[in-house]
Amino acid sequence: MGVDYYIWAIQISGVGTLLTGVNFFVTIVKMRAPGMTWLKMPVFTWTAFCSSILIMATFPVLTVAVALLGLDRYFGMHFFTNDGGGNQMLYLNLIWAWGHPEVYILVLPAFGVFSEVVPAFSGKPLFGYKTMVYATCSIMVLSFLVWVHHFFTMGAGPDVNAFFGIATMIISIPTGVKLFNWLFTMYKGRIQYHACMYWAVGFMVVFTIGGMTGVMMAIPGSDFVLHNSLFLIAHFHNVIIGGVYFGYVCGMNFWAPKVLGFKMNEAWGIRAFWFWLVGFFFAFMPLYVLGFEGMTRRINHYDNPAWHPWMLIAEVGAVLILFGVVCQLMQIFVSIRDCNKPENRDFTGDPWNGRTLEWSTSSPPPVYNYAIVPHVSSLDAFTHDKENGIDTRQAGAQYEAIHMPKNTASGISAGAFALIFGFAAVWYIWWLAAIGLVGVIATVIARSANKDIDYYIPAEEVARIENEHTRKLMAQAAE
Amino acid sequence: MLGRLSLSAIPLDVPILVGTFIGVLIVGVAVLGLITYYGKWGYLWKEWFTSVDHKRLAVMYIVLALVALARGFADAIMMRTQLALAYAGNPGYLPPHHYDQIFSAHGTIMIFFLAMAFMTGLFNFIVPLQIGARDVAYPFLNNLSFWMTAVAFMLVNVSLFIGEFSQCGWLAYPPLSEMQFSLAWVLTTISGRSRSLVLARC
Amino acid sequence: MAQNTTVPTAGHDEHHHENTVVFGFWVYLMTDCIIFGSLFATFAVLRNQFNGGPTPHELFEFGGLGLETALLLLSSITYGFGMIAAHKTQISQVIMWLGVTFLLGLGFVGLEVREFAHMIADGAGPDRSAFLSAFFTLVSTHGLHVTCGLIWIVTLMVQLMGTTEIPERMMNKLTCLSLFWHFLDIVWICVFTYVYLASMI
Repeated sequence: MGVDYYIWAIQISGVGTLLTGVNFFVTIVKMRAPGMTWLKMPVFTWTAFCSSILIMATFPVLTVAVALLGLDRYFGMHFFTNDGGGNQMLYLNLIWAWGHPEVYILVLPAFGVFSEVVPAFSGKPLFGYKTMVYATCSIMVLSFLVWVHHFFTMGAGPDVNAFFGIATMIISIPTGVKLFNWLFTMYKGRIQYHACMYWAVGFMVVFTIGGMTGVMMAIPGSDFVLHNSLFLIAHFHNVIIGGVYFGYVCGMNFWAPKVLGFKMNEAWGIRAFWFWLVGFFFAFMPLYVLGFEGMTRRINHYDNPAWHPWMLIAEVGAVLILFGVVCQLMQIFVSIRDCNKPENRDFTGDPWNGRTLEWSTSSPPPVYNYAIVPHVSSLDAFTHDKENGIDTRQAGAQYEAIHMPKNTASGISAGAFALIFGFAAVWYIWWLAAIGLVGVIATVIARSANKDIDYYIPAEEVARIENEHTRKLMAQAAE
Repeated sequence: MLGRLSLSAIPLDVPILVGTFIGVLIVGVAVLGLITYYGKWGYLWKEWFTSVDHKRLAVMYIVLALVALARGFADAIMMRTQLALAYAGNPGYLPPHHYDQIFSAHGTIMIFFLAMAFMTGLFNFIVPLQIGARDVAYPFLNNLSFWMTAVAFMLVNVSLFIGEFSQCGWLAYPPLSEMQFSLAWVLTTISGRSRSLVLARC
Repeated sequence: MAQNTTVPTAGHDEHHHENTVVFGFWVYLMTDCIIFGSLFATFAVLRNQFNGGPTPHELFEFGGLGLETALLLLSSITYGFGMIAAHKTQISQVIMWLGVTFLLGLGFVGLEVREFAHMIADGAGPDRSAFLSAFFTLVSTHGLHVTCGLIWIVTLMVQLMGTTEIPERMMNKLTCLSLFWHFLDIVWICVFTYVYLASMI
């Protein structure tokens, strides 16, 4: 039943992810501030948009692949079995038709983070905004055309392999464009080496190496040698740690003051970065060597003594990364402990001299984000307003009551029933599974019948919150 | 009544898991106790668990991602330690069926519950603010999405202490992930357990 | 301080909220479309894997199938009448047409279940061959969607009963269900053509 745990965990979280994709797609299409046309949209939002499209286009395929596997297991069907006419290659095609776009789902937002962080800490606008947008969109499209490179060895034939190999190499071109855009953004900039910038620059080094080993594996001939070896493991950790993880941590450090109202501790952040960076190289460079020496993935013991020293180096790397994780936990602990120190608090709402709208509201923002929905007239809207002396907040304007959604227990209730359903299905406890399923449906129906779902924040309350923030801004400016 | 679930599904014979369970129990009791002691349950329920505010959900997603990081990283360092030991006749400290669960769980958790949760957290953090919106298009669905992700992660972790996780890698390739091999695998590879237990765990 | 003259009012986003529901549901249906697309692809790969078992010629008969199709297509029309009544705020008419749609949909699901029961009784269940696995999965995924639609219809009928007007939120629900129901019709036409018709020729 181990696989059944896997199946139900994927299916339940898949529901959440798919809804997130739809949610953010619609949010970005329909709810942008007036004046924010597509090419005035910040790059992080662009990447979130492309990620959401990829989620909507590919997570249903994952759902189908895993559902068919479940049908094989629960009802004795023959989609992927050895007998009965099943076809295992079908599973590989389905799962990778999701799986490859998935890595771009993850890495595009990381690219988006760097596209916000690098300009903010270089004191310059992003170099080549439009090429960044086009590169993001071409990566989104190309990501659908490369999935077969995960199983070149399956025997699809030289023509098919050549097509997918070339498509894979082509995808490195827009990625390269992005890298040069970040470098040119830094070029002649006033770079501040904030903790965010450490993660960003570290990313550029690590991700480039990972990208290049990816291009190596995109050559079907070399993939035949390296397939399922530790070289592959090194490659994808190289891009996922160096790209995705560094990017997300960078984003967390960058936006924490906005959402939480206080800056994260920098010293511990930088320590975490160095442990992660050095640990990464110790842990994964030996794996490239081991891959060339023929060590395959997923083996739990081996006899070749030549591999042992490399494995020991990798173990050292893992320990260094452990220190990195501990430093990150320390960073969070220290940041929360010191959150009330004046030097850590963000009274202005704009701690890094930011360029985009989120820095124009208070930190943390009021529940309604913007008392008056801002009007956008150019890219880097907030910088534009600051340079032209426009008050993006329009403090002191006539405030109106704001319509907001009410909190609800429906989500946690549906989640709890889904957990019951998943657990019961793993263990074939069908009466309990029925309770779980009916519970989820009943929660949704009850939610649909609930009329008490929204409320208005009165105009006086909005005015009180806004005036208080204006007073803090004045006090800050006076100092 | 309880389907295939029986007491033998609890891996009392695996010291690592018993130790982990005790550790989780102590930390869990401590956390829950502290929340109760400071009387924060009402606050958590009203302001966080039932919240439809994208900023609150963002923080909860990132907390989920960091918990997933802890679990996924523990798996990683266990694997590396096994491979630092297990060569030239030394079997290491992890039997194959346990090792295989660890690499499967590591991949599954890191992608679906660390990376995806962190990413969704960042979306929630900033996208509505960055486009000048007051919330996302469907605030309730946003809350629902979070809980679906969170309970799925709980389900993965339940497998640590009740039964076992998949041994088929993070993408569960067939035919290894098919029922046929779930039976054969258990019968041939689990050593040191009683036969009745083996049958119960199919 | 320069003030922008085209300041949107604070109530601006309310309209957004209401308009996004139908749009968002349509987007969601497109993801559902990909689920069906994947299942069609699976069927295409496995359609000749009979494993020595029955073939489409031995299994499918057009009599019941024609009736099923007629019921479902008709139910789309009756739902359309319901929407016309909804736009005129004739609530009893809406409930009546929803009821008719429900009965037609129920007839469809009933006939499908009967067909499946016959096939399983004849030893042509989903575990017989890869072809039958793909067939049962694709067709019953559609049937399951129709069943969800039936539950949804009943829910809305209950919510409409005793009301005198159709607020915007209710109208959105009716419109979303309308999209869902017509979408299932289109999927059925693909199932009918590709699974049944193309297998018989």
